[in-house]
Amino acid sequence: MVGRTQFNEEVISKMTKKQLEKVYKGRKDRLEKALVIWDKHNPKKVVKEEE
Amino acid sequence: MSGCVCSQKELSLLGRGACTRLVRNTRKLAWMHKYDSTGAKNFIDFNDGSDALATIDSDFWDALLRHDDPTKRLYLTPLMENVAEAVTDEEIETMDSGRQFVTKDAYLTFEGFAPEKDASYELYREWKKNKCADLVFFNIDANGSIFGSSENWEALELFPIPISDGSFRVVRIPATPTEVAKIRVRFDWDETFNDAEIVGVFSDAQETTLLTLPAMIQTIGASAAAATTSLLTVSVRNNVIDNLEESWITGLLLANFVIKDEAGSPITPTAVTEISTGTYEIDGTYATGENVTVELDYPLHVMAALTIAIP
Repeated sequence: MVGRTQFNEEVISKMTKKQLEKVYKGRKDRLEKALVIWDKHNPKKVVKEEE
Repeated sequence: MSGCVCSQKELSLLGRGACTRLVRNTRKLAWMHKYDSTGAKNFIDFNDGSDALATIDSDFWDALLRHDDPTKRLYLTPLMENVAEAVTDEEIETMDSGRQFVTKDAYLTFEGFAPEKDASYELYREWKKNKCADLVFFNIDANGSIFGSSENWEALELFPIPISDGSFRVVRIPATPTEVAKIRVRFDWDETFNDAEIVGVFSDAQETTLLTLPAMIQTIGASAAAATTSLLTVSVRNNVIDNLEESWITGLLLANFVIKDEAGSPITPTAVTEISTGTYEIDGTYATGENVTVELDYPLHVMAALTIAIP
């Protein structure tokens, strides 16, 4: 379908954010979508505070 | 298969082998260009490298049907219906003394129909495009046996059979209330070809025959915009008559593109976007100064690898 982007989640999830920014330099829309995918596969670690 | 019972040894008394394999009616044709881009004659190499018949399986045929060089590729028709191969008699001049001289040899004419269900409009246009090309053919019978010329059969090279110059004609026959639309194919086998030289690889020597394989739609890939180290822009269209009738291949996905670097190692793209009909942006990481190749992996379609230089 024209206009639809199919992302490769497996590849994106293994890249660094810096690498993604390099691939999508100047293409903000696609970078944002790629970062959403990246975040989904790389959830931030929750650090428990010591009681 | 042959319709002959091997125990009927008495048949050999008739001067034939005990278990003769029969040639059946033609159901398909395979064709090639007579010469490849280097000027060498095309043929199918059945030699496994040690003067024995190669393993003729789907990989064997796939390598020919998807050959990267279109001038060396083997092309296949769909199943042909209502095939009629008629003999046109030789022309003879008879002298007053009664002596006869052949002024024109007998030859076979071919007529077959590809119903619309099996023959796409793209395939029809492909045939139309090639009607003036120097085409040569192989016959495939109802068993899947393939027949060609014995020009160098001692080396297990099966050469195609020539047809008369300019005799290849295709026409699209529209549907009627009682008949489906179909493509009619007609040509004359070359009258100068010695049909005593026809040899074949019978179906029982093949693990996969061309009878079971589909006709491919020929496509052309092109770089549609300057490549960068993170972006390839590729258009894919049918190989049709001319640019006025371009027919773009739409709906391709990530899995349909195979990207390789100069060393042949795969490069996995991060995304594919169809930016306009038949034109795709392929995001990824491509090395500066390299030539990357783009191949198409799409059922029923074949495309020569496209090389794109990364600046």
